[in-house]
Amino acid sequence: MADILSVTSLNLYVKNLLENDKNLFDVAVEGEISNFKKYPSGHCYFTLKDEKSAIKAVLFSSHVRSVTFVPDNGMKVIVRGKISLYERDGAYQLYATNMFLSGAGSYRLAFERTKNKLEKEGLFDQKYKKKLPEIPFKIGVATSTKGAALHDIISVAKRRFPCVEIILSPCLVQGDQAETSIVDAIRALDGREDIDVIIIGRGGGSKEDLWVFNSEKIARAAFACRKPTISAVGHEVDISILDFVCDVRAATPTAAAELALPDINSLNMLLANMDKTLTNSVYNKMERYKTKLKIIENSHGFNTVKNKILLNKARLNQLENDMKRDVDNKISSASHSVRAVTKLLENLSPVNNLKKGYGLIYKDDILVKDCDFTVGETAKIVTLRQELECEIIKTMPRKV
Amino acid sequence: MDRLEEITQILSDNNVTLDELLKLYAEGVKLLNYCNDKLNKASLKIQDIEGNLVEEE
Repeated sequence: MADILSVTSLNLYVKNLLENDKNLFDVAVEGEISNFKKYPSGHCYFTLKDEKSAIKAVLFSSHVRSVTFVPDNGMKVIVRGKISLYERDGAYQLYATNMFLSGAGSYRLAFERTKNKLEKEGLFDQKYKKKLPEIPFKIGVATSTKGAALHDIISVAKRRFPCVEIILSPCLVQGDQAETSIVDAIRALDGREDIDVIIIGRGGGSKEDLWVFNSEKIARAAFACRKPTISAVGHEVDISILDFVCDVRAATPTAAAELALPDINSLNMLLANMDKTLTNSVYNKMERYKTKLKIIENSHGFNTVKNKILLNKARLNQLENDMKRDVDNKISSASHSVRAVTKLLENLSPVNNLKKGYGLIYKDDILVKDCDFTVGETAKIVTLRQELECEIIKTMPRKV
Repeated sequence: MDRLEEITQILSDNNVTLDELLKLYAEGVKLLNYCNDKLNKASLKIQDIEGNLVEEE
């Protein structure tokens, strides 16, 4: 008979066997989830079963974050992990490191589950939906550098609104790191002040390729955005959780760009119309003012004043003329008197006497009026044409 | 653009004084020029989040 072992020793022994089997170190097992329980610690416990068998499975909280969907009973999944033994119960278990959905039904289930959860929390409520800006000058795009989405958005922008600036926040859109990468890209864009609207998405792909856009984390990151968001995942038929959370859902990246960007031609037309309206209304107003002015000018009150002014003006003219005439008369009569006096003076001039034949007699250059000359004295006689030096040769009294 | 719409609205209202009219018109013309400039001068620019220019592939 073999050695007697304690239960603990036996369990440890088997555990070692299992853990050292390289075929059991990294397995992928397909089955349906049942008895799913998530504990406050974050660890998840469930049973993975198929038609005939079942195995207990554990997903520790440290691995929960690598699962892109919310596991639930009835989902068909592929669980990746290692096989080991839980010593306390002697139960051999599947220790999961990651889980993937398997089969369309599971995808639908996972999708519904996330959708219901977020919907209950109000993340899809209309009251949170932000309006897109009418004219965005900078749009943020969270997508892959290499994908069709970026290309499509750029071609729409070129055609529709070439004055826009596109800020690309590059991210992986499929694969293990896609979820974190997309969340980071969204946050980076929303962290900026200068971006008017954010487009999140990728071009078409398989259901599995697009699956990441059903992630709860991405949904929450989009919901937290201060800027309006547009989801643009895959094609028309592809609906993702992101579509429900974003402010606007676009069927494709092309449609997203068309929703975000206004058509520059219609904007220009609008501006031209405004220009016309502005000019016209100012012109009309000015015309109205002019007419008003004319009416005032022709009004009775205004004309009374105007006539008074004209009347006073005429009177002023009359007065001015009168005054001028008076002054003129005075001047002419004065000049008349001057002429008369001149005439008189002329008549009184000694030259006139000379003209009449009289002579003027000077003694020692003084005009003589009634001086007595003696013989031998000299005198000067001035006639009209000559001056005569004379000597007195004889004097006699004049007979009167 | 909103302000422009507002101005055209005010101007089609009858109770605007001559002073206001001229002021609004001047503002309107300035805004129009600004909008035309902004819409028609630039060509598409694509940058990544770090400010590097992105070449379209």
